[in-house]
Amino acid sequence: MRRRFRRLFRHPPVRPDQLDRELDDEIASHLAARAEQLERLGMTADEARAEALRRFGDPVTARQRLAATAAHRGSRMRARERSEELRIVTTGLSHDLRVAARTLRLHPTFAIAVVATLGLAIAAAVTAFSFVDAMFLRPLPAPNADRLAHVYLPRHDGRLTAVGSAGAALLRTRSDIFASVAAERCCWVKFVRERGKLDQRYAAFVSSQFFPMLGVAPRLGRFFLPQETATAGTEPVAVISYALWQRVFAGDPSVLGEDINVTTPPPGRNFTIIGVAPEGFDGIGIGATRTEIWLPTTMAGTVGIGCTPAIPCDDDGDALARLAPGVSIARAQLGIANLGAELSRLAIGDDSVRRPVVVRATGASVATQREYSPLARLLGAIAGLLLIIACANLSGLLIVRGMSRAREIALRLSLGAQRLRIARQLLVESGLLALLGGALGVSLSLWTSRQLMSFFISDSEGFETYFHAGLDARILWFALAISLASTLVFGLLPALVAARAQPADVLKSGSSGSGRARPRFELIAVQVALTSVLLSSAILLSRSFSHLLHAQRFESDHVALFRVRPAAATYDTLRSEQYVRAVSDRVAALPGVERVAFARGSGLTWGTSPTEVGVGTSSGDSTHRSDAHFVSPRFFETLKIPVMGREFSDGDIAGTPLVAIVDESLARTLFPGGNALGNTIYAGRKPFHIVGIVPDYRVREAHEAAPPMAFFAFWQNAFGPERDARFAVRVHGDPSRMLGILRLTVHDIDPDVPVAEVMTLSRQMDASYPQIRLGQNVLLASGSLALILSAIGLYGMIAFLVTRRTRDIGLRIALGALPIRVAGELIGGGMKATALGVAAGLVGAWSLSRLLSTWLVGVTPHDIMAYAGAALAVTAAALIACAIPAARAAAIDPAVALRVE
Amino acid sequence: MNDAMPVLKGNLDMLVLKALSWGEMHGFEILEWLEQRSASRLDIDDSAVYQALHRLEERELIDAEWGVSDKNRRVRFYRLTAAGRAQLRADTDRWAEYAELLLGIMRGSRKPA
Repeated sequence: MRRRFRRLFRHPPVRPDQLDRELDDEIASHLAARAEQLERLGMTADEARAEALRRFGDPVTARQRLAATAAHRGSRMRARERSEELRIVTTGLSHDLRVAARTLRLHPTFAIAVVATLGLAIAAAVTAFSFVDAMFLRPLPAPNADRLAHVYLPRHDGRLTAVGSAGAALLRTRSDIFASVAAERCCWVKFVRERGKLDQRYAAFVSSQFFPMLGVAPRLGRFFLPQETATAGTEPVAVISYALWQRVFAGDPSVLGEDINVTTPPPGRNFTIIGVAPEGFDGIGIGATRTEIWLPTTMAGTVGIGCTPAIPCDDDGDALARLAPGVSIARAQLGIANLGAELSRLAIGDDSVRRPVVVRATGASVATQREYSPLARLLGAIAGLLLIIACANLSGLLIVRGMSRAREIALRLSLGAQRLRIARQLLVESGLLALLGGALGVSLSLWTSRQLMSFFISDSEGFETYFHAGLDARILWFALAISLASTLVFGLLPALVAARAQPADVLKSGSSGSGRARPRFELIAVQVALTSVLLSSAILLSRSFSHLLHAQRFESDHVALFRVRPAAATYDTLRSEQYVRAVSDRVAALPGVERVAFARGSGLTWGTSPTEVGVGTSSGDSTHRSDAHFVSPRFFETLKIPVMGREFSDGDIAGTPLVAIVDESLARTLFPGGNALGNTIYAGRKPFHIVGIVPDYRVREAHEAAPPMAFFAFWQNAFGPERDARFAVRVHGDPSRMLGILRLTVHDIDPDVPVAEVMTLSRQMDASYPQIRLGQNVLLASGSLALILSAIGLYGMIAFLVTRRTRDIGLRIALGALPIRVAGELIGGGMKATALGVAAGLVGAWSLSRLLSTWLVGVTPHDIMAYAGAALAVTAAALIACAIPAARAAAIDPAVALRVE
Repeated sequence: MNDAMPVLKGNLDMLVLKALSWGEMHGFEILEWLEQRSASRLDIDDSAVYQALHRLEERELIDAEWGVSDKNRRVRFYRLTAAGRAQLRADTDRWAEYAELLLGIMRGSRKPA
């Protein structure tokens, strides 16, 4: 083996001093052997030694001459080595490339199959990497971004807590470690009136160091001065984003000095616009909502963020620091170790000594990274599996092709071509294919990355998130590296097989190839195994998502949503009520609208309601915590949720006897006897008559605890006046086509009330469970791709076997073998590999399925259906892939076959 | 030992190739093989064989590797490369032809044309 390697990669040239030493060693060894021989013949030890020396040759010149020859050999071989290396790298390579290009042009089908296979797998890998890159690796959009870092306090559970703006101020005193420290609190929804119009905006609170640290220059005006972010509550100034400036202020330069009003909490507060951020700067929170307004950190308390206006509130900000010149992350961390206790007192309130950590600022926020790391791992694993499948497939294809080229290779070998040269030629060919595949992969990934990111461009409330997955140098390097790595993986095995072939065997055995090179069914088994893993996981997640959809027990198609918040416009109860009624009436009158209903609660039909009530069966008892939902008449009818009893009607208004509807689990808990309907429950010490029972319809994730639900009539205002409302509109046809009309209509009723969350119910469902939805889509796509690849691989091998054994098969049929038997044998070979692969794959999937369990709803990780389904699909695909060439074998006409060659 | 015959450099190379066609050998084994085959009638300095080995190695007709002999001695093993094998075939053919030609002339079995 060593020898073979040395031959393949050429042994390194021997250095002169080593040559001398080896020479002496060899002479000594020879003299000893000769003397021993002579002693055996009867000489004494001394005689034997003398005779051995004599026979070796002239005592003076023999060694010298030998040394000269050896040195000559050494220098010649070294020179040859060097020129050979040079030649291999220059002329050889370009020659090999030309030959490879020609070979591929001559076999376009083969080339296309390989490039497509590789392109798809590389696209998957690049897409997964783009996600990881955007989420974890990409530096912040700032000059010298590698000098930026976050400072956190690690909690006992491993979570990282921000040190807050007070913490940031403390860190700022260590100017030997940090050149600058900024505080940033990202992404709060605020209702803002600009030029008389009210709308919701995402606001961030930043300290004066924020913009300069990121190297951002204002498009207009200026950013915050140090004194504007120094004292709590005294500097009502604001910076707006370029997008907002264009959209709302039409790019008007006189916007500087204008006031905008943050309406909540009442009575609201005016801020003066002092600057406009440059185009494209939406904040730094990747995966977070795009920032539209920046306010000083010191003003957070005055607009109800975190604490009451009475208590100046400047905690809970992220500290973003620029390291002082020459200070490394590790040194910074060491340098602030003694600040841990004080930082922890400022940020958390207790002074348990903690060691602050300094983390390079890349990608999304630490919390977002934490949330998405399982998904990133899943994507990475899928991409890896696909790449292995593709490589196994290509390896098989190349070996099969190598066998058909065995004669050519054997001929070249026997004509004196070096094995290394031939192996290299094959590697160059694979390399060329890999580069073409890589180029295709990168192009494809532009599209697939966009598809992937489309799951993230907006959240479940319709806010646009800041996600940017364009190509960058890191992604291109990754693509190149992975292309070359896969070349080694799929190209090396065939190259070694070719290099090992004994030319005599091949040439003797005719066109059928050497006995040692045979189709590698183990490669098929590997592919099939990995495909089974992907497919069964895909089916598991699909079943989970469809369970989620079924568990909801309502019809989400044909439903459009929007949300109105008259409270943000600081309307009083009466005006709000009038407004909600007006919206309901006007929307119901629109053509194409079937039903209109509305409710209050965060999330129309799922999620935890912000209002919890204690419910019991007597006035003193309120021990059963339930989510309270305040729903309009015809709410259940609109969502097509069956109600036992009746639902709320237009008659259930303030002053009439209080009514309630409960879900099945609450009914069962409160009235184990099953007589809930018509009974009375108490909530907030008020009696409610139960008029209806609905199924437990709410969607929830597996690990979510599900509190029971109690429904109260919107217009009875049993716990206080209801004002804000989420509307559900059942329409004929595609709900997405109604969204524009709905927005216009509602806006028209009162332009002052912000309208939000205008989207379809299905879109909101998807956005609520992006990880499951995305995982399911990605797994299904990659599972199908893997299935196709494995089938192609199997087809290729069986087809090749048939071609190779045409004569053989023809002979057997001529001798009376049943064609069906011949076909059966071929299919049997393929299916044996498949069965092995499926078995291994299912065992693997079974043991890996734990990893998916966080996303599984209503399906156990060991769901038999998923495994059976995957096994069935893979087996069926393999059967088809084998059957086609096998049928061709059975149809071989012996007379024709025997004339071959 | 009756009158030993000297061996020409080129011929010694050929003989060493022949010896190695039987398999991997170290220097002393090659000498033993030559002595056995020639009944010790060839006059060869032991060092000459090593010279030949270096020459052959330089021409990449043989390949060398350090190893351990049956007698547990550290020795350099030599074996033919593909090129060496081809060279041996060519040499053998050429020699057979050459020897036949010379013999034919010397024994005078055929009259010159």
